[in-house]
Amino acid sequence: MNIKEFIGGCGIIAVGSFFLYASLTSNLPIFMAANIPGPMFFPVILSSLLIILGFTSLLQTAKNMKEMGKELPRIKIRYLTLHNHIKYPSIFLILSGIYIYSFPTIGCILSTFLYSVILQRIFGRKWRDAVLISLGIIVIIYILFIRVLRVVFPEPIIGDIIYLYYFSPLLLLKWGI
Amino acid sequence: MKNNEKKIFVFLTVTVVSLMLLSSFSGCVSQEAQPQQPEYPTKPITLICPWAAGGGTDRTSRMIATLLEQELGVPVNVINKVGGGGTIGHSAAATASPDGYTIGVITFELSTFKHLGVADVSYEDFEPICQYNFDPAAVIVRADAPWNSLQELLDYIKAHPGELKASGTARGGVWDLARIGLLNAAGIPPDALPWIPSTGAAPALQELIAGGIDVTTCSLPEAGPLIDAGKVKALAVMAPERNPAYPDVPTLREAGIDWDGMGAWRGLAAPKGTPDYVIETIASAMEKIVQSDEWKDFMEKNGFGMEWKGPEEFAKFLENDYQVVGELIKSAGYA
Amino acid sequence: MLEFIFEALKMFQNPVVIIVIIIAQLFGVFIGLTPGLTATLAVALLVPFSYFMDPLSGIGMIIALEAVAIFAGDIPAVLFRIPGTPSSAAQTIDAYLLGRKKSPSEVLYVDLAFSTLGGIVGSLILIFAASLIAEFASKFSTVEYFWLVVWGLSMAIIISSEDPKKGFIGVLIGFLAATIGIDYVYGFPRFTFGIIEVQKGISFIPAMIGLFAIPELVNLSKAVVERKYIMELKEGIGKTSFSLIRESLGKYKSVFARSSLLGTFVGALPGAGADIAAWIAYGLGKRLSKKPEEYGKGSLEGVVAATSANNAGLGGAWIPALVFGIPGDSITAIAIGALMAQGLRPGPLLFQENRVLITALFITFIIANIFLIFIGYLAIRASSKLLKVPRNVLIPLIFVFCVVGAYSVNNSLFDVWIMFLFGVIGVLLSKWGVPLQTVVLAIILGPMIEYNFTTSLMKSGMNIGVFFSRPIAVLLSIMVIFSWILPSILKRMKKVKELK
Repeated sequence: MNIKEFIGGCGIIAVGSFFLYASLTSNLPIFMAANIPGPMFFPVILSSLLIILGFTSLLQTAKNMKEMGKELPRIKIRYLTLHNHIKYPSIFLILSGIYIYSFPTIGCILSTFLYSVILQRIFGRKWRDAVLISLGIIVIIYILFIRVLRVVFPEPIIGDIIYLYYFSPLLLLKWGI
Repeated sequence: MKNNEKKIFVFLTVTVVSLMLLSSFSGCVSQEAQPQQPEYPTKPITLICPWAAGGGTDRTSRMIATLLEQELGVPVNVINKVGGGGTIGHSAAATASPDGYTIGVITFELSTFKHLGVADVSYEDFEPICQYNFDPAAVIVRADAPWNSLQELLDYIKAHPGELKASGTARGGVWDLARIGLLNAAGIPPDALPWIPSTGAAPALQELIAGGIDVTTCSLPEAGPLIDAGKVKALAVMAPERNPAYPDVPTLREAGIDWDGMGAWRGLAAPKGTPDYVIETIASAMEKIVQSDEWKDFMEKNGFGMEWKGPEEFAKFLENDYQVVGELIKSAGYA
Repeated sequence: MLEFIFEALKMFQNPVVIIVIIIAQLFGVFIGLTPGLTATLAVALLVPFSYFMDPLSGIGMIIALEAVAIFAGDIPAVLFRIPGTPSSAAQTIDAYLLGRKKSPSEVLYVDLAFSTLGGIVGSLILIFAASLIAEFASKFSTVEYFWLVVWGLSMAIIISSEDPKKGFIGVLIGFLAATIGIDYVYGFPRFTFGIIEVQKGISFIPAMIGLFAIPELVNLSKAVVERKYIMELKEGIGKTSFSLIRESLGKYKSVFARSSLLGTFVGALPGAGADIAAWIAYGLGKRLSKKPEEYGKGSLEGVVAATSANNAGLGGAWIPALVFGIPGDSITAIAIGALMAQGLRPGPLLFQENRVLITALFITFIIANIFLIFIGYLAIRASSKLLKVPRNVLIPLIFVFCVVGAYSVNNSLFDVWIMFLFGVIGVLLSKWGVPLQTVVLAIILGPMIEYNFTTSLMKSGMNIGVFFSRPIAVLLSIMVIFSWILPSILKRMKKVKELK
């Protein structure tokens, strides 16, 4: 498909140019003393190769420019007809981004609960089921991660309550149980 | 279909608004809850370990956490903040809230960050609590190497500058600086024994027995299994006294070098501005811990050198270490 | 010798040992299943417990856990196309597609069979040839590693043999991403733009979770309203069917033998580990296969090759750890600490002074792999129920565990964003047809290539000849070049035959 080739080519040219620009303008050397490759040696080579590959993709599409013109409207129609195939994935991605953003600000437990409930509602689950399942997920995280693995998550609202009164399995072992 | 979309829109709006409300609410909470009363500790303490789970520093910090839990009566959670050659973890500990509920394990690398220009964090960003470990460097060569004493090795390096290669840590790491210090003390320019960076002592030792390099300056316990296996031999330990587990290895002074040597240390520190009662509480708890048989047994078995410095002494040590390291880095031309 | 075995077996009379092994294995199932939680992390968190146990249960716990965790990592790979641990990344696509074609649990049973057998081969080599292999592995310097890693990376070309350009793009993107952060050689911060969090660079595990999981979740969410389950539920989806195992045991004997030997050996090389072993075995399997066109589209042979190699690699990684105190992978790096805490210093003295205990530990390796059959069977039975979870629950469930898992790796929110970013990149790249495994492979191997290339040149004073200066290096370089040109030779030979 040519339109993909075109967008992909542009994308990697952009990425490659960004890295090439950043590596050439940074004050880190490409070569050290005695021509030994320096810290920017590999980035410069890799980003240049990426740009070259990007241009080969563009050349490929340029060859059949006409076909691409035909392809464009067809793709538009296809995407419009498959509305859900764009809608749900984008909702999923946007909500997930908000979830990660809210992870440190409202805490792991709350944000996980909200995310899970909201996503399930949007995907067509009943309120009751969504809340119950989300509670289940939280309990699993609490037991497996917070209690057993002792991971410390940010919890600005619930606070340290969940970490306090610790039932420390390590101490139990130490006391010989 | 349309109805469904409306619902989704409402949901999204509600989410965003509620998230905003909640996050502003959480801001208020953390501002209100400032510790006023010197009753300490009342909630879980977080111990930040700047190195990976399972490594030497992590093992000591988890042991400390377990023992501190018993002493202080609150949970002590170790969290590893790894990466950037230790900069991430040290910075995280230095910038944590100075309420006494976040303390950090600090290691030798803290003295190097500012000099090497990798991170703007140094001992000045911490309130030192205590030092609990010190591991001196050693000079280690392959067992079949022609040199049987440190002097022979140094003479060879002097006569053939640049021919032998050394490794043990990253560039500017602790064992690299030990190499520079040794060469400086022997009056040999640092580039006579060039440094090949490695990600740690284990890969450097692998490289040594594979014949890729000639000298490793890591600590004795790290090379212990290979010494037992007869693959490598230690020419000197860079400390004022011999290591009781390796009584045959001479110190630098015994080998004819006028230098006390150097090594890696580990300690505890709180972020700058942490109240004194916190430092005192933890330091006195640690003092009890390091005298316990449990701790001694643990350190001995793991081959970690035991060393104790209280808050004031540790502060002086850190200041001195920072200067010494700065000079070494300058003399190597890294800064 | 026999009396030692007898003495060692007596140690297992203590029921605590067996109980600890079973608990560790059940825990290992969870660890393997959860994307983001790796065997390494689990072992690191378990080690403090081992301080207060007797040596056999303390170390046996680690051995038992890793065997299960590496297998359990294949379960989400088959069910959801998400590798549970990095070692499962090589066979993920094949195992998943095959599971869709046949039945997921059937594929998992074959996987379990070969995991167990691979684990046993690795353990047997550890028991009987440890010092021999350790001696050979100790001859690997940066020059040999350079060729080994180049060989590993050339597997990316083999994986993407249909459109090598896309594979190459994947490698470049992964490699470039891996250059972000403090560089391994000089310690300079690259592309950090003064932000301290960026110094640690792209953490591999979150990046891998994002690359595999998010495109799949996006895929699932497309038809979340129309289709209830992630696949059409056929009759008897969780039932046991041993016909495929019997068939594959006979068919893939040589693939299995080759892969498990290779896996043990690569695992025994310090710094290489089980995940690289799986990639090399998979790539080699494709090169030498009679049906290379099936690889990447659901080849049982590819799954067998990779899974027997990664489980064999576990035993291999203990070889240099026990003999020289140099860890073979990140798990044994931690295990050495656990051994030391028990007062057992790795090295030749360990074998002389603690022969009974070492024999008991070796027996634990075998026991752990035998228990794996039962625990793995239960895990498959239990986890195939996940297929009956509707899509609209599965999507939030998996993503939540990805986020929490990515956070737990390093207690860092930055890593969670890395996971999300790589997920979006993965969605775009897979739309374009870039094989995602090549990106993952390059993130693992890129820094190793850079490190071994640069330091080798440093040691030799910028003499390219250093790469051909040692016998094993020459051998490896010939193998690398051979693996590049072999297919074109074969093609030509075929043509000549056809002409005749």
